[in-house]
Amino acid sequence: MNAIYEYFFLPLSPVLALVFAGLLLIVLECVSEEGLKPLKSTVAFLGPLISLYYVFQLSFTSGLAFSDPSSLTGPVWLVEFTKIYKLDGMTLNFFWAIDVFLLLTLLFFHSFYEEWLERNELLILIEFISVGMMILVSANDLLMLFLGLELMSLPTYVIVGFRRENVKSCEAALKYFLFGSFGTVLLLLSVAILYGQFGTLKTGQLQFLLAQTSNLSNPAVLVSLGLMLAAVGFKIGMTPFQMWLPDAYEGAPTSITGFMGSAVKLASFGLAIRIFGGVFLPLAEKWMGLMSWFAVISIFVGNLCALRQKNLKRLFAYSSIAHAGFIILGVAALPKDAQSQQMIYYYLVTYGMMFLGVFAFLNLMEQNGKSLEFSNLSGLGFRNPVLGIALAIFVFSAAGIPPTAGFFAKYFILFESVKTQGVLFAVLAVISSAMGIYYYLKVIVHLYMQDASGGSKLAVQSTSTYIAILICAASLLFFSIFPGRLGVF
Amino acid sequence: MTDGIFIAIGIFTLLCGSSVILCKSPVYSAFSLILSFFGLAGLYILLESPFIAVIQVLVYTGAIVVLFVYVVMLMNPNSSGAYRNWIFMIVSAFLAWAVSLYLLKALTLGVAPAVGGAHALSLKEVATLLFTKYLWPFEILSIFLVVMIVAVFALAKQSKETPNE
Repeated sequence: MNAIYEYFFLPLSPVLALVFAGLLLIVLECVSEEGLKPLKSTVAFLGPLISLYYVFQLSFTSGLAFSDPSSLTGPVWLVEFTKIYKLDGMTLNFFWAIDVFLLLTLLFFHSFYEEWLERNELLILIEFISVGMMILVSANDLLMLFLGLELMSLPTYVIVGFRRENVKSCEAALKYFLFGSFGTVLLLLSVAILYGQFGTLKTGQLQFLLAQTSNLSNPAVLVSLGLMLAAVGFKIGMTPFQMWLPDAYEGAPTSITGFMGSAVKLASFGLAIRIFGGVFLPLAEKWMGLMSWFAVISIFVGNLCALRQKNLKRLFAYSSIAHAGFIILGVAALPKDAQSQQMIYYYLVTYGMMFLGVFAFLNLMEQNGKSLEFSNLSGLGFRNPVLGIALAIFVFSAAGIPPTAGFFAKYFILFESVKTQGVLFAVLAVISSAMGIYYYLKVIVHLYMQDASGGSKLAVQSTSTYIAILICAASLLFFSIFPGRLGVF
Repeated sequence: MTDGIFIAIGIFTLLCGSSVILCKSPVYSAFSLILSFFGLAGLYILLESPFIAVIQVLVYTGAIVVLFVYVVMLMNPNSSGAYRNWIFMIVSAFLAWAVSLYLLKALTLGVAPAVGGAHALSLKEVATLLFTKYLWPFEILSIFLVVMIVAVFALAKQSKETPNE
């Protein structure tokens, strides 16, 4: 019993907290008592809070029994569990970020509780999506990786199409579902080929087998690598595979787009790190250059397409392709410098905070679900100074202007890229982001330098969304001064 | 003897597979798919894994293709307007053929031919593995199923604002 606690419940506690919160919500859903509404949202908030507590507890406990399972004598499933579950500093960092993003998203939902009174399933689904993300980022085995990915993606397709009366929302869900499933199929095929060739799914064993020189030019390995590159590309929105992204981000309900762009993107890059920083690490020569080119093309495509957008939601969707390009540049630096993981993590979290903040803001401004355009922002900086400043911080961070965290995120990634790949990709990336500043500054111009007559008022008054926006904005400033404080390690 | 059966089943499966693509009516395509799955099941039996053969028939023929047929019958798609781009089809067929040929080269290089090669898994062994070695992934799957039930419920539930006419 003790072994089960030390090797299973304790290391898994952040995940289990969310699982129990989700299951409790399902049980509560069966009781259609009006008075239970506050209880439901309390449970939804408690899940990530308790999970966060365990993340901190795990990070402060040194010499965890789990980290050295060699002396374990227990049931077969427990021994196997210690092999397929990876709990290191990076995993805990990702857990921390997933919990924080989930809490912030719940804060936005909280304000729309009245509107979505009948849709409590959203809370259940979003808790379990986070469980899937945690399983994904902690997977040390391709089977778990796949299960986590599916547990994350399938409910996400559903919540994208949550507003069934809205045609765009349905279209977005269908597109996201089709492209996402296609990516999943490619991933599964790649995994199947690897399994057929080597008879194992463990990351460590695969990495060891792939490192042998006879396998470097094995056709099966190369085909598997190509399929995996495409599959991961679909999931993270890398350029040749990014077609679904603007439509899906635009059509989804705004608060859910915020969650997709921050937490789902974070977990998808967790997948990329586990695959390309793990299994395919020995083949680095084969994919590093290609991936860097894809990254640079992503940055160009994202920024160029965003230039022409008037719709703010679509603009930030395109800009997210450009940001993904930057992060892919970091992934391409992984084989030569393992430190790059921290840089990717820093970029992902600060970018996620920016994205969540912007979409919470759009959520406040939207009237009757109509997407915002630039003109709606006119003069907002004077009518509502607090929100104006927060939005300015988000936009500066997205553009990469100091002293916001976005600048340091870009700086760290470019630093890694120059260190491992030379200056070519860094120069191209910088040229392209300079083009991006044009549309980011357009937002600032509308905020502070336009006549207020054309602007629209806030559609919703919501304290919890205000709090969430302020937390996001403050964290962007705080983490630029203390980059080391991000996460638990 | 085995070679003869293999070739016969192989040709049968390929014919059924091509008729899935070439049939004009979606219902015929769905039924050709069932037949080709039966052919695949035969190949699995030849590989001495009857368990996978049974699962193949149960899951694909029993569940998935029946769903296909239901969807086809419910939607009643217009078969004459089927999108058919011959150049695209030929190019993709050629690509698939080339990649498969390239993959075949790997057969001689494999490190672990143990997959299915040594002995076929019996039902009991699969069940034992599922509840011992793969218990945790199995539990994740159970969570997954619960979540999907909730998700389907969320999609299918009638909302008060927009009653379905």
